[in-house]
Amino acid sequence: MLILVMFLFLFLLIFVSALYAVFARDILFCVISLGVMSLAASIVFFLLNAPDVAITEAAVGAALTTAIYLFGVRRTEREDK
Amino acid sequence: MIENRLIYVLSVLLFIVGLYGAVTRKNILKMLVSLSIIETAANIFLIGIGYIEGSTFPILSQSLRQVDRLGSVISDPLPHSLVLTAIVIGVGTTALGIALAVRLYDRYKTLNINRMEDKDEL
Amino acid sequence: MRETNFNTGKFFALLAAVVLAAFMLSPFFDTGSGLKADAKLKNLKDRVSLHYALKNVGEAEGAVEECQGDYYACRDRVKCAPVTYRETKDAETGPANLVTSIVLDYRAFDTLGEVTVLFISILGVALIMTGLPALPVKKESLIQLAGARFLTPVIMLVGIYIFMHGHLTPGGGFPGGAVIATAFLLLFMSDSGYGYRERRFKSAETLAGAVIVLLALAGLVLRKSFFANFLPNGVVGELFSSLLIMALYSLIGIKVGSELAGGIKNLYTGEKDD
Repeated sequence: MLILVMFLFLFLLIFVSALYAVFARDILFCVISLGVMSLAASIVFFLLNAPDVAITEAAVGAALTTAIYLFGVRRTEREDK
Repeated sequence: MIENRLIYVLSVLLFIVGLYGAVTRKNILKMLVSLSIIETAANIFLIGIGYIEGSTFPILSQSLRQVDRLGSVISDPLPHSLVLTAIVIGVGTTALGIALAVRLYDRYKTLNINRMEDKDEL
Repeated sequence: MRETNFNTGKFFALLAAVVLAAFMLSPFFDTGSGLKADAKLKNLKDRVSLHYALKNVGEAEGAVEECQGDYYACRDRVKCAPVTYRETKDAETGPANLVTSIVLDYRAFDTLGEVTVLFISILGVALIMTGLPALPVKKESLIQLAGARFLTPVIMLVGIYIFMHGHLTPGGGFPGGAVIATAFLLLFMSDSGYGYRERRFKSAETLAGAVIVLLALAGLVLRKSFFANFLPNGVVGELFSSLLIMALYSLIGIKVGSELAGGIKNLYTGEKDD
């Protein structure tokens, strides 16, 4: 029962981060929101009995993908005109 | 605990959010962010296929000492291996997309796809 | 400058996405006709993946050949011995982590494809970023410099632990390599006196990739099948069991780590154009 409540809360966090990442005006906020979504998805993977996938998503999605996007934002512009 | 159909419904809703973003946004970096959302939704769906209620991790350890034919209470390990491959390939394609976006900005000085036109051709 | 009015487009995009979602969800709800998803596979003993867990895929293939290709008719005839932690010796594969045994032994060809795709995409990043100027480096702060110099060996040690114990604990080569690349990323961004030796990264990556293919070809020569397990599998659960899988995950960890570090370095400063 507790696991179901945690799962629903984490999926709510995933949805809110994904909606904010699509609809925000400042691209830096989109990228940070994508990092939050990856981290919440990593915990969802752990709750679904997949620790290998959870470690891989946390190391790759939350750290490296955010860094790659941040270098891309730094070389281009930050506003979505 | 968690029913399988709940996982499928929620991952398809996340897929819709990513698909809407990929189709209607005009900034290239936003399109790449929406593609990442679609990939995460597909990975959650695949893990949801392998999830069996009332089970534990597919790793033998001090707490799970034996796996036999009738008492196997582990989750399906096959979708985990497919998703492991998919996550790493996702980061590779994201890096390539970001490099292309940087090159486009260097050439056209804008990231809005409506404004990328060559002005030196008549 | 053309700016077309997109509001009707957004409405139709949302409508099309909702219709697509209804189609994608229809096999899982009973509507009486059309596609249906099978709800009988609620336990691992009804699925085919049982043989990956019990490490008897060879015997299951023999049973399928006896029944002329119909697995579900004669799955009761397959001999299934239980697999016990620290007691089962010389099984088909060695790892205690069942996902590792699928990724690197039963489906090792998919892993070779994944390593190839990652290599090609990082090569593409290096080719595309040729000729772009480097980003201006800000003056670093002393606390960040001291902290980064202290933390980098610790992070690398965690990465090496993750890929060396890939057959016992969750993780493996890919997150281990990603953690090592994160250590190098920290060093690039906070230490301007770090002399980055590009040739060492590239030679480490290519050497690791070549040795992976050589080990696969050695399996072809010695046991007549590509990626065959020709080193001894010890007892399930010990550190030095399944030596080939340990070697392959270590090589994949080194390759992915140096590859991703080089790729991020190319995004940070452009590649030289000569």
